Amino acid sequence: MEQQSSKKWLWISLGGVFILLIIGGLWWFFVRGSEVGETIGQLFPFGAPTESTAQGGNNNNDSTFDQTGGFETNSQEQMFRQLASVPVAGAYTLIRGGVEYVRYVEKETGHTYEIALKGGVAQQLTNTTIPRIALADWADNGNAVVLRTLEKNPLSGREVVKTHLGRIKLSSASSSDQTMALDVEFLPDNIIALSVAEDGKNLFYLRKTANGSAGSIFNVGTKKTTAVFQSPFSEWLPQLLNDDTVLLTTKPSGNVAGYSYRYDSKTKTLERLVRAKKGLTTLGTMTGSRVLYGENISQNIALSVYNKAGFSGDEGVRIYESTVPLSTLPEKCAWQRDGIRLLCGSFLSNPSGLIPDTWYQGVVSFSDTFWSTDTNTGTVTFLADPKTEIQQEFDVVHPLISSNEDYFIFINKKDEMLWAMRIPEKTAVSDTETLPADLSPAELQDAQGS
Amino acid sequence: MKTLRTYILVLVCIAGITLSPSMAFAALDLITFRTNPKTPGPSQLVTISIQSYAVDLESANLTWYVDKEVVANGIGEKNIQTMTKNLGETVTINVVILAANGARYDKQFLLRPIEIDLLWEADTFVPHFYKGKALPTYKSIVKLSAVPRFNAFSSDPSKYSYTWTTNQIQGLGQGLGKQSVLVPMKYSGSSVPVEVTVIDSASDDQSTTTASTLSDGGSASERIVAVNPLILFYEDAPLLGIRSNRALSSAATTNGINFTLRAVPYFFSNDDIANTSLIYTWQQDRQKLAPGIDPNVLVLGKEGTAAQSSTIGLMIQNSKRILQSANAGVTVNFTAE
Repeated sequence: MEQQSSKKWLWISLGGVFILLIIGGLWWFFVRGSEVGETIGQLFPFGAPTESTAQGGNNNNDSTFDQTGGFETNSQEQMFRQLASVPVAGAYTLIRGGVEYVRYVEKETGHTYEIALKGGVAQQLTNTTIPRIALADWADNGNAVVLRTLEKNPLSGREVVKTHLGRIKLSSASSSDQTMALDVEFLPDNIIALSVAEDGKNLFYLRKTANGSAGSIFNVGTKKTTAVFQSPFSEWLPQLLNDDTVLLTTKPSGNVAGYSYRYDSKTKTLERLVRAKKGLTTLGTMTGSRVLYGENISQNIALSVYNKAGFSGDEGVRIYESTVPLSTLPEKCAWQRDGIRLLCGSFLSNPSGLIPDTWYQGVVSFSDTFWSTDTNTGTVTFLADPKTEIQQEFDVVHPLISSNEDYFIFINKKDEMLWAMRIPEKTAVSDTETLPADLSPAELQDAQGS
Repeated sequence: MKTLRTYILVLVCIAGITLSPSMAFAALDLITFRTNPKTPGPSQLVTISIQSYAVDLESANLTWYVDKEVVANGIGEKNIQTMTKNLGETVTINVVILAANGARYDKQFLLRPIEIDLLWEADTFVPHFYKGKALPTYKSIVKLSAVPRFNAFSSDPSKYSYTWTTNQIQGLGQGLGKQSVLVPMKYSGSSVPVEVTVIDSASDDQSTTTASTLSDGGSASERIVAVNPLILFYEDAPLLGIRSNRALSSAATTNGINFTLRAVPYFFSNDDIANTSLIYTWQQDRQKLAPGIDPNVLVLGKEGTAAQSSTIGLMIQNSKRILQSANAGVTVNFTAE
């Protein structure tokens, strides 16, 4: 009888343990499991990276990331963060599910990656290998990338510029934790200059012809190419604007006068914006309402803004150009969404040598500090000195501002690594901020972020 | 006698009647306008001055009208300032000159904004993806292109007449629609002055009266200075490609066992590169090296495990343009394993 009773108690105990295990499992599955799943889902909507796919995050070099301000600690978010520890060809920012991401291309492989700006490690998106990427431009909301390489023709021995247009076919149906092939097509060989509009819908490219150069607009969505431009001159640096007009600036040299034009492909009009400035380089807003330009004045780099609508001057006089008290090149700056303010990497002292020639040649390098400027008022605000913050020197190239205008993302020309700088609150765009009253329609369009 | 006197008087009267208007017209034709800047663009402040060798303007009373409104009046008032309008729009300037001798001259000037830019590009080598300008060197060819706009930003350049000169008088070519010409450069450091004059020969406004002058043409000029060619070294990494972000100025250090050095011959003439007219002389530790398949590339290998260094020198000589030459050196250090 006692034996039966002890057996009974044993079965009851085992049953209790079993029920507790089931309850624990259910709790883990429904409560903890959903929390973890959501977190990973937010960071990696296409699956958490494995060690082999995470190239740009902390997995590769923990010590470097710790030293350079990684966000993984619970302390206050630091100002600078290295997003990739491999040379990067081009980057793009996007928001998905309320999270800001950066996509980038690894130069050595042509593989594309994605990393959340606020933290986490990089996830590899594509595994189609295209080595020796020289330049990468993103299009179609980050779902297409234009990769440019230099290849040698085995028959002629001559170098050929190849332009690959790769599409990243990410969808909810795709396997979330696996990389995929880049769907690649080719644009014509020997494109000498290329620019993707900021909205990513179209790209403009130039090719040399017997008489000079010819420009075409390629629609990334429809794949339709339209010839829009011909010129006896070929040394153009184009910037395609959202309305299919093209900012065309002559290639610069510090001792040669440069010119900048706005070409309207619909009306075939060529409007000169800036004339006869030595070492001229430009950066227009997405609508071209304002153009930031740099020039070499007696070996000093000066920055100015051309405003088609004009600034209000004294006694009601409209002035069309205004100086920006920063010493830098326009390609070290990015326009904020309002088309009025800029964020720039700026060097404090002019390096020796002819600028921008020697900088393009890789002979000189800058050590930039970070600034914001308001082109309406001409005021500048100091943001950060990376040498003080993280004991690091940056030579900013390919800058962009994240979709929420929280981060300034750039490639450090010194080693081609990708970085993000958190933009201090004082320069972030406020929704409640009042726009200036004298904005032109194009400026208003810029300011409204369309 | 009386008959003779009458005859002479009649002759004088006939001569006076016949010659006076032509003299007046001759004087009128010798009154010319000048603008500063010479080729004003749209919405630009322009100084317009009037001059004459036939009429004493210093003592004359001049009244200036801009689009029929008086803007200046006075003795010897030979200059005014006004703004040009947009491309395709004309400012009509009238001047009424009352000379000290009582003669009156009416002169009209139609001011149209013109934009003429003179762009040039040297047919010299720069690497693909290089964002800077190719610069001219000794005897390299430079292509000049004019970008004119007369009536609108959409002006068709093929409808204008171009006259190209160098050194003020030497013709480089002319003709309708001749928007570009080629000019050879001289020695490094010397400049070649070039000028283009563009005439809107198809302008409807050509049928103006003899008393009108029209700003139907303009010019632009440049001085193009030749420089020396340049050799820069870069690392050519197997997967990364040419590391053009960082030129190897004096020394390069690698922890690998191979190092590919790529020389870039900036600003050598493109045609001579295509025709393999460049002579490459590579040296390693002062020993001349046999030329490789790609003359711009030198592959260095490390022997053993100890640290090594090699001093590399390169001279490039253009055999067709003999003063196009450059040399450069770099030390490549291999670290110990």
